[in-house]
Amino acid sequence: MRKPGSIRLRLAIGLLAIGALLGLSPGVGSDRAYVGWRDAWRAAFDVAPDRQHLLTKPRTDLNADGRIDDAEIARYVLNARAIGFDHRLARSLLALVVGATLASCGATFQVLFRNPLATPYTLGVASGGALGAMLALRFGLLERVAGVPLMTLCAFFGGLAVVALVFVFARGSRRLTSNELLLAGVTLGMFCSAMMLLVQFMSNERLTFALVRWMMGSLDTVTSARAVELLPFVAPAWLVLIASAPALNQYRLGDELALSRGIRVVRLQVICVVACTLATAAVVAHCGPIGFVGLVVPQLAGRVFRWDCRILLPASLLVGGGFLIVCDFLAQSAMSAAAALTERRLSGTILPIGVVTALVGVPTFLIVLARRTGRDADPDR
Amino acid sequence: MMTERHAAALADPRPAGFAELSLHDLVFGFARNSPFLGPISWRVGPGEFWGVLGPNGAGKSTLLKLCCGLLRPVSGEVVLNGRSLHACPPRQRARYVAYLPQRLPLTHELTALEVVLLARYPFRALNFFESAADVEAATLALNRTGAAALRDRRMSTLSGGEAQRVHLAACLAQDAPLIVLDEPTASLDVRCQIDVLRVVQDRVADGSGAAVVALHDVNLALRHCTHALLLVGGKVAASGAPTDALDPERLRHVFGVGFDPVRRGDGKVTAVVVQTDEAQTCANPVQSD
Repeated sequence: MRKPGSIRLRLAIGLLAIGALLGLSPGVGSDRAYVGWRDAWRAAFDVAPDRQHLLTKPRTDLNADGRIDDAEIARYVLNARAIGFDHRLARSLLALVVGATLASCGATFQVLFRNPLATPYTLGVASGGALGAMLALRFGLLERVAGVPLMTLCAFFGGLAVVALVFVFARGSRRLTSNELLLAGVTLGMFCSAMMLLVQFMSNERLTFALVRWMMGSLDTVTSARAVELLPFVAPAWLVLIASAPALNQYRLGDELALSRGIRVVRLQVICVVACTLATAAVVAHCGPIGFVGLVVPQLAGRVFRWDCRILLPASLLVGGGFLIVCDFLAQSAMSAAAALTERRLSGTILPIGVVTALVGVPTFLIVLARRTGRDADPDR
Repeated sequence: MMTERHAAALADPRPAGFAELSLHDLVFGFARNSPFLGPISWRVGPGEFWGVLGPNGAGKSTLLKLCCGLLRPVSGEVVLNGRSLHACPPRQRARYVAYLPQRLPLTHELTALEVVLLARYPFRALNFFESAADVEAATLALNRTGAAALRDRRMSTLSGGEAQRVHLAACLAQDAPLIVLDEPTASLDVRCQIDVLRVVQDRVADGSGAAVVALHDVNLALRHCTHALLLVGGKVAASGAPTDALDPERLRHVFGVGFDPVRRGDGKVTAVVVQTDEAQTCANPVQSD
C-alpha cells in the first residue's frame, strides 16, 4: 500500500484531477445557461457554435428576429471567451494558487511546530493582516499604489509586522517549538481582534460590513489579485519548502537527532518561517483569511499520500489547490441550486469561500479521522 | 545554493576511517561562570567500546552531546581525527559521528525501513530521494540488529525493544566510524540489553571505529565494554579498564550503595551485586561535589 509506485500513481491521479477541474472551470459559475464549459472551450478555439443550438440559449438572439446572424455569433463567441476564461478560469487559477499555498504552508508549520493544530495563521499573519486592512478602510486609504490597492499593502505589512513582533517578544527562546512563540502569537492575535472591535465600534455600518466581508475571504478576481500577481510571492515559497523537505524529515526526529545528522536546525526554521510568512501574508492581503485549508488539507494529504515531507509537501500543494477549486465551485453553484429549488431569485450571489471551506472541510476531515485504522492511528499526528 | 562548504562535502563522501576522538580540557556550563562539566581530558581510540557511567545528573548525556558536537563547549576542544569538531561543517561531521538520543524520536507514522533510510541523509548530498544503495545499506543494518522482520512494520506497532533495534540500525546505517549512544539499554529486558550491546561490540571489534555508550548497569559495562569512564558531578572519577574503573569500593563511594564483587576462579571481578543488607547499603549518603 505504501510502495513508491502507488504514490506516483496517486500523484498522477491528483494532477489529472486538477487538470479536469481546470478544464471544467470555464463553465462553472452563475449564468451557466448562457455559457457552459463546452461553449467556452469552443469559443476559445474559434469553433463556430451551432446556430440552432444558440437559439435555445438566453440573450443570444439580440435583435429578436428568431434567427442568429453572423454579428450575433461573433458577439456570443467574444462573450463566451471573456466569461469562461477572463473571469471563471482566472478565478479557479487563483483558487488553485491560494489553496496550494495555504496547504503547503500549513503542512510546513505543522512539521515545524511539531503540532497538528498549527496553521499558516498560527503566528498571527491573519489577524495582523485583518487589522491592517481594517485601518486602511477606516482611514479611507482606497487609492492604488503601483496598481496594488493600498488596503492590500496595509494587510500585507500588518501581517508581517505582527509576525515580527511575535519574534521580538519570544526572543528569549531560540527554538520554534517553544511555547513562548505560540503564546506570543496567540496573545498578539487577541490584541489585534480587540483593536478591530474597537475600530469597528467607532466606524459606521458600511465600513463594518466591508470588513466583515473581507474577513470571510474572497476569490473575486475583480476586487482582488489574479493568480499571476500572486505567483512572485508564493512560487518561491513553494520551491523553498519542497527543497527543504529532506531536512524537514530529519527535523521531525527532534532537534538533537536532526543536528547530529547535519541539519542546521535554527537556520532551517528561519528559512521556512520567512518563506511561509511572506507567501501567507500575500495571500491574506489579496484574498482575506481563508480558513481551514491550511489546517485540514495537510492532514488529508498525509493520510492519503504519505507523511514523508518529500511527498507531503507536493501532495499538499495538489490537494490544497484542488480542494479550494472544488469549494469555489460549490460557493458559486450553491446559490443558483438553492434558487432553482426554492424558485426565488437568488442566483448571481456567491457564498463566501471561508464558509464553504469549513462546510466541506469539517465533515470530510471528521470522516477521515473516524476511519483511521489501527495501522494509521498515530497518537502524535 | 552551492557554497564552498557543499563542494567540500561532496568531494569527501566517505570518512577516512577513525583515528581518535580526544577532549582537551573541555568545560561546559549552561549558565555563565558556573561550569557544569569539566575540565575533562579524554581520548577514545579505534576499536574501543567505552561505557560512560555515573549517577543521574552527573553529566553523562552532556558529555555525549559534546562528543557529537551538538553542544558548544565553554572552553577546550573536541578533536576528531585531528580536526576540531566545531570547525567541521555539520553535514560532514554527521559522516563521522552517529548519535542516538536518550529519548527516542516520535516516528509513529513511518515504517522501520523509512526510519533507517532517514539516517542515510548525510550521504545524499544532492539526491532528493534514496538510491538503491541506500536501501541496501539500510536493509543490511536492520539485519545486523536482528530487526530484518520489522522492515515494513510501522513504528507505532513496535515494542520498546523492537523500536530500539530499529533506531540502532539507523545509527549503523549512518556508516559513521564513531557511534555515540545515550542509554540505549534503558527500559529494555535483559535479553534486549545484551543484544543491543553485542551489536555495538561487533561494530567496533574490527578496529575501524569506536563507540561511546552511556549506561546505568555496571554489570553490562563489565561484560561488554573495553573501557569505562566514571563521571561524578561533571568530573571524571575514574577511567580505564572496566574492572579497575568500576571497582566496588569506588562505586560505593560514588553511588552511596554497597556492592559485592563476583569473582571468577582467577580472582578477576566479572560482576557486582548490590548488597542486600539495607542498613549497610544505604549507610553512606550520595556523594556530590
